[in-house]
Amino acid sequence: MEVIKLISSTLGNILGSYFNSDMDVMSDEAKKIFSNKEDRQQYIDAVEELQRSPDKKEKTITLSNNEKITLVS
Amino acid sequence: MEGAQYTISSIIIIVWLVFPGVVFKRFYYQGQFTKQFGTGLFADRLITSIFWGVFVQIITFLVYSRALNFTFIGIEADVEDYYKKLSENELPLVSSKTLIYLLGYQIFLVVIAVLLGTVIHKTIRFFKIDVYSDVFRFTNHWNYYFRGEILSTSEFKALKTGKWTSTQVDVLIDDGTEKNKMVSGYLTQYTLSHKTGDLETIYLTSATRYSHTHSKFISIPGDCLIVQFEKVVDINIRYNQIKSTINIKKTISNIILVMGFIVLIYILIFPWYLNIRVVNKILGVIFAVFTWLFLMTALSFPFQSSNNPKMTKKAFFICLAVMVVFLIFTLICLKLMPFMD
Repeated sequence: MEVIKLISSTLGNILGSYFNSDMDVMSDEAKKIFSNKEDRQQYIDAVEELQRSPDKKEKTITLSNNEKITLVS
Repeated sequence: MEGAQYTISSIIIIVWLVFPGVVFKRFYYQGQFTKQFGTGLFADRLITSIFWGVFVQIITFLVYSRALNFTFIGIEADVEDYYKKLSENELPLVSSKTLIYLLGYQIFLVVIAVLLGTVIHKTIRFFKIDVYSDVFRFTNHWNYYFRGEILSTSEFKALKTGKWTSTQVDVLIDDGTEKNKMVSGYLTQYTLSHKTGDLETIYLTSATRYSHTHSKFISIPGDCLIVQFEKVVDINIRYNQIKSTINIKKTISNIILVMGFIVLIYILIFPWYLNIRVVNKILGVIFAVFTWLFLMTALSFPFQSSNNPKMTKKAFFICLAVMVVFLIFTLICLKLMPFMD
């Protein structure tokens, strides 16, 4: 049953990658970040920090899945 | 008699030229560009519909005549006869076989219009042709600004420091008081007016408002702030960008998707060039699409981050097995099995 679920979700992803709308005003990365409360707060804080200090060009944050992203200004 | 000729000509132009053109345009202007479909001068829309209708008609005729093994010269006498009878206000004698061919052609015409509209739209968007070239740019300019696509144009190139992730907007709202209200937030959605195509509403998340008492932005409790654009005085857009990193898995996965698309187009066209029955061609295409789908699924497994590698391996082999079964059916239908005559 789990295999069928995995196959059907992968099938859906394949079809989705061809037919999905590319019109969203938020990238997939941002959507993933905003779906997690902690990640969202970290991201917002990092954006604000970069905007507050124009000298600072980069800010790296570690998301809850241990993925690191570097925001640039 | 002359009146009947005009009526027949009008019906032919509408059904065979304008209608496929309209279907083509409906699928070309999709997503946030859909409003462009119904805007503009009627004469302009009619002319472009006829133009695209002719384009769709030519492609359809080439594919359909090739699939059913007939040529225009071969059917010219029959077409002339039907037209003559109709213009003389008489009902032409049409055999049931010809009627099926005509209905099939009409359905195929719509299918080709849908496919061409979608494929051309996707190609233009995928390669960002509309971003780089003004000729292909859609009228919904908000899309380019809100998605940060404008950063790829020569005018804004200097502002591009990484990969766009989100868009922040600062909006000055006229609330009827002396001091206008200023709100800021991350843009999540927007809507356009059905009639004019102008910006109607913007949806913000993690919104803040400027407090004159505290002289700073304070958080607005809530999940989504909806702003009616008619009350907006000014709008300031800020793009948040992240450092582009080369993700090998994603790059290979994208290459597979592009190659897969080319293969799909090939398997949709190739069977029509085989000297076999139409039923075999249709079934061949259906089975070939399923073969393609399971092949693509199997190929995408190694590029997915999985918590259960054993399960992924099992799913990979199941997909391959199903793909082989569909492949055999495809080859049988298309009479391409080595041992078959």
